[in-house]
Amino acid sequence: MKQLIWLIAVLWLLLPAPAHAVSDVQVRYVGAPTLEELIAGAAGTGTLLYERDGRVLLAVQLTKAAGATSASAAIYDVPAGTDAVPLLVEPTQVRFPARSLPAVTITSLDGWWLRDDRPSANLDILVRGQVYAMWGGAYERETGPAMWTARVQPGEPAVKIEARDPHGDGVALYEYRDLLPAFPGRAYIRSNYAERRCARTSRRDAGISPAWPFIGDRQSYEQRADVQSPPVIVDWNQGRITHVAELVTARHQSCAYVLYSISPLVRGQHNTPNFESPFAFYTLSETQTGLPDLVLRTERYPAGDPISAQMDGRLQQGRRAPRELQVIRYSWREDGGDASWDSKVEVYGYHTYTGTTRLADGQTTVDAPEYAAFPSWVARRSWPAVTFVDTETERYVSTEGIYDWSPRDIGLAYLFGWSIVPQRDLYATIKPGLRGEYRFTRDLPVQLYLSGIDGRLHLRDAEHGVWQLDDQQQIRLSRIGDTPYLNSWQRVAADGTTHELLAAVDGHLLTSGPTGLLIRRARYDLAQRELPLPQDAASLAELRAIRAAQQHDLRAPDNLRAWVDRFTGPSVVIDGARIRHVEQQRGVLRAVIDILPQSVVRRSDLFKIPGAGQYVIQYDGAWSIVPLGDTATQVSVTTEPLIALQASRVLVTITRGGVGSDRASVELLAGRPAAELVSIARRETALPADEPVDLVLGWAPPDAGPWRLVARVSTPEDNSTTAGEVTGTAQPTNATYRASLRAPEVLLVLVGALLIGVASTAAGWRDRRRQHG
Amino acid sequence: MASTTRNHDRQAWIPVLLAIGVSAIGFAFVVRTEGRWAENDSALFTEAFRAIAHTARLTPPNGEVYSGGYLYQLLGAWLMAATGFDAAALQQFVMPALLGLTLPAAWAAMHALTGSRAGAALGSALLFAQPEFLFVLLRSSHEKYSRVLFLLLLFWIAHAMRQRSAYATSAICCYLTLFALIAANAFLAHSFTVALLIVLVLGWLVTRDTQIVRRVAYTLGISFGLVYLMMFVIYPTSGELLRVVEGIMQRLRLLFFAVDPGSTTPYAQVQSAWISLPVYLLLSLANWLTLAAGCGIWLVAAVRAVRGQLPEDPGERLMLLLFTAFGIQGALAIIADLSGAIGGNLQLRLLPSLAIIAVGLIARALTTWQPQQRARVIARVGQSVLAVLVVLAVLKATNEPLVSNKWVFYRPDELAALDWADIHLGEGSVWTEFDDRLTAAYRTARGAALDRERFTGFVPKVDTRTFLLSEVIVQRAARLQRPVPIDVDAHRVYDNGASQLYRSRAHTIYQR
Repeated sequence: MKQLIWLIAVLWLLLPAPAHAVSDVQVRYVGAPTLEELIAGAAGTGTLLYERDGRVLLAVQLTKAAGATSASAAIYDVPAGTDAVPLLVEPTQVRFPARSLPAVTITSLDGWWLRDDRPSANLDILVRGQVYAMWGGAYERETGPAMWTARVQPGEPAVKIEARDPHGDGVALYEYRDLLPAFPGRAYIRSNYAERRCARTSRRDAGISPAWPFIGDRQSYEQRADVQSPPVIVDWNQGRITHVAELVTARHQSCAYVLYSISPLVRGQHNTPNFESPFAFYTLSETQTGLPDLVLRTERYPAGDPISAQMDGRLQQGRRAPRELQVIRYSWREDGGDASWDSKVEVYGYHTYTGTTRLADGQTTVDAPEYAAFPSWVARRSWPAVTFVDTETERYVSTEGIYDWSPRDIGLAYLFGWSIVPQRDLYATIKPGLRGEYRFTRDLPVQLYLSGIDGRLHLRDAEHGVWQLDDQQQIRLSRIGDTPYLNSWQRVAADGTTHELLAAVDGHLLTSGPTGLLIRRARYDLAQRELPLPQDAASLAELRAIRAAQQHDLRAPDNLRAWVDRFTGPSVVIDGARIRHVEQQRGVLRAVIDILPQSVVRRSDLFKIPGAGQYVIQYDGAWSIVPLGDTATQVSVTTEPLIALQASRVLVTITRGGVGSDRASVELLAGRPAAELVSIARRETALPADEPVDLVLGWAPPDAGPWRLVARVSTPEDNSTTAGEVTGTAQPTNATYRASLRAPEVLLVLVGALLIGVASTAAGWRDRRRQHG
Repeated sequence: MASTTRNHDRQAWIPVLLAIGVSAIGFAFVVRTEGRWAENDSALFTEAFRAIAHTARLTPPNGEVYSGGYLYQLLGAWLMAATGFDAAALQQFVMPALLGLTLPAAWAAMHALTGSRAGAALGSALLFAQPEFLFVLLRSSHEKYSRVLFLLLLFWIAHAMRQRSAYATSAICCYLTLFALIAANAFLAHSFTVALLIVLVLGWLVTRDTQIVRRVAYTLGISFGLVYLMMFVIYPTSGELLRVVEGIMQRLRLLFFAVDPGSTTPYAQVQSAWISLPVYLLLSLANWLTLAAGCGIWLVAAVRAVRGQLPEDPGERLMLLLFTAFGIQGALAIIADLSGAIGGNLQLRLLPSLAIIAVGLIARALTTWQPQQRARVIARVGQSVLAVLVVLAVLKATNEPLVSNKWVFYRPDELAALDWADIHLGEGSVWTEFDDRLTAAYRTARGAALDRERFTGFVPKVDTRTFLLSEVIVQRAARLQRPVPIDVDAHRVYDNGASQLYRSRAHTIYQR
């Protein structure tokens, strides 16, 4: 009996020690030192086996050589086509086939894995095979690896990761990831650097087994804000490592400085990273939520960067961007970070990075601006193309800021200077609940202002804007006259019908809507306050305070008349009349009004109201009113004498009566008199009322003979097209080819030909004559 | 006896006369262009000369690498070092002037194929009346060298068949020559080897000529081995080209017909490349006559073969089989071209091969022809016709601007303008011409621009806002009946008297 007890005791000791288990995955440990000893940094080898239904789905072999300062963990998952990790479990050790390669190898530079309930975060990690271990890859739950992840061969080294925790608080301060396969010709992110710039307050998720808290099952590359999950993610249905998640999260912590570069970063060198360099996350407000309230996402291409040729491959056809360029999306949240955003400014421009920003404790440097200085770097510079988006009624949720309305949408051909026609189409609408504004014709620093008319935040110098109320109507914002502030609001239906308009020009408020028109002289400020971009706690707090103060006083977008009613002053009020058009030319306010027979004049403090009809009212210090004359657009075309193949000037003169146009489109077409016309040039121009506009275009007739030139002028305001044309006869070109042959070359050819001709039959006929003779 | 010796002495001057005649043509090309000529393939090799000379590597990491082979550019780099000539001078002056040095190979091949000195003289003369053959020898690409190697290969094969006793020597020389051809252009060598395979199959099926079959079989096995050794071991760059070509059909075509993927079809260019179709047909007269005569001789021989009357002369048999082989390759390549699936330039690639064999057949037929009457008159007429054909071939092969719309010459003022643009223009490409005339000229004379994408030809690129205008371009526009694509209000930013640069006006802040 005593022997039996001893035998049972020995067998018990020989049995693998049970480890803690989570969910239905059982974890057991096989090894000579105990798991606790090995985890704490003792020398030896042991293996953690993660099992389900008797099958080993994952094996982690922990090793530390005697006297070594580092410990390593080789993590084996289930090879494709099998249902368990190939291994041999012996009483005190686990053997792996000689050819087995671990999918992930982790080296703890601390030499231990867990101490004082803090995991080691000084890690070197090598990832092999199709594991989503770096941004730009993907692993779909249903379909498996995608993007670059699918292109990695089984067992091929894919990603190298370095994470460092110099403060020893159990959470890495920075991590460095490099994509190892070359993938030539593909614009994958090759290097990713993420640095935590303030304390991380998240709790730690121990994963499958708290004994070795590096294995988890949350299928995500990104970390959460409140929880730091284990990095190695396993799909337990297949026993396959699917992700090696962020050790330093980019988007889900208060402060982070991140680079995603398509050009690899080289350690020990000064680097010129491209693409998302930098991607910076800030918490400016005092409310620390664990999520950023300011995010600057950059798209940057250094001068001559070959990757810049892929910004729009179809357009560029291998041509690189003309200069170093940046597109920077600057999004903020005024009430503290909560993964949603209030506003953004996005800038496009050409600046040169000249920084020497240290990364990874000085291991390497990059030319990108430093973390703390980056917001002011953006705010202090001039940008030729800028968009601004404000959330009016929608909560905009994302981890990277507000995507809508990038200045790139105006078209790279235009921004690169390759085309003179901007693509405004994408700025015609925006998602309901958002208000967008843009400018792209002046190179200026970004400045915001609070409008005294609508009480909202706007982009200074914006040229146009759209406030999308819902799917059916929007308010179009624009500038009339020479002012940096938006001063025209038009509530327009989806079919283009104007419901209501409001213009604030030259000390007057003009509004027109369902009830009639109102013109009021009033004291107002187009800009109550100018504001810089929020760059620090003070500027964000100021912006928040101003916006909070305005919150209860915001004007409703469905009643522009009510906006004017807030002001007092001498007025003209006519029920049943309307304002068709407002413009300011050379400082003179001008408007076209329609007075119907049934219109009722309520007030006429500013000028006398005649009877029904269409009138032009004008203010140049005093009001005047005259009947509206001819409103037709006249187009005439004249040319220089046409000569075939030689460019001739074509003068297009446009005169628009009564009502001007902000943006007329002019197209010149040419063709034989009875044949189809071909477009040869396009221009955009503003057409002030009653003021001729001359456009000089060029055209070379491809051949002599009669030609017809037609200029078509389209105005978006009234959706009309007017044409003018001219017919001319192109004279034949004077240019002719004047090649002449010179004696030496002619002589040489003739001598050569003669000698070859003579020699050709010399031998043949002599032979034959000899034969005959 | 004395008369025979005197005749032999006089006949010794025939190849010398031919060489002088051929050299005169080469010199004429240099004199006509004043050495300022360029075309795309020659420009590529000029850059490759420089790259090898500067780096002492066959595949310079950042330089121009010709993927088909390395021998010609290696020879060029060696000549640069040995003579002190720069690459442009070598390519534009020396190589065309050395045209006469190709004659010995032509003479030897024709002598071995036709079996007589008379055949050698007539065949060599006829060869240089072939415009496509003359074209590839005049320009400075690898073909100047690989066509000579091609002729030497024919010589060694035909020689081996005629000289049974010295077979081993001929075979060794043959393989050395083939190896050189592979090193010059692996795909041309492969095409030749495939032709030999067809000869083997036909020889076995039709002629039952065990002599040809056995010898060609040996040659074939070793030849394929050498080709693949070069492509995948010695100079894997040539194999790389095969790997990057997408699509099995394209790969096969590249491999079997030595046709560059993506090159333009020659058929569509005929109309635009010459001042008129009749002129093109006239200039190509030697091509048509040679092909027609070759086909006629082949047809007669084929009919006789069907009747069991095989040619006795081994050289004639070889030529008939090779004509069949290159004819099959040509026909398949033409079908592939016309299918539109892939581009081709077989007119330049395959016509010389077929023409060389056809010329051999014609020379043999004429030298065995026994005119009973008016032999002297026939000879004089023949000489005159041949001289005219040579003149026509020279006009075509040199792209003589009087008849060709594809110009290869340039003027120093044009390059001076491009030099200025390369240094002073900050961004964007410069339109240079209606085709690659001046981009090739710049690459040849100067090398790569500081910005490799700087100069562009054909239609302006999306980023082109600067345009070159020269007297030659104005005349070219008149010839092509195409307007120069310069805005009427463009700024003239450079003028050297004969060439100007125009820059389109800035209409937006992004164009300043």
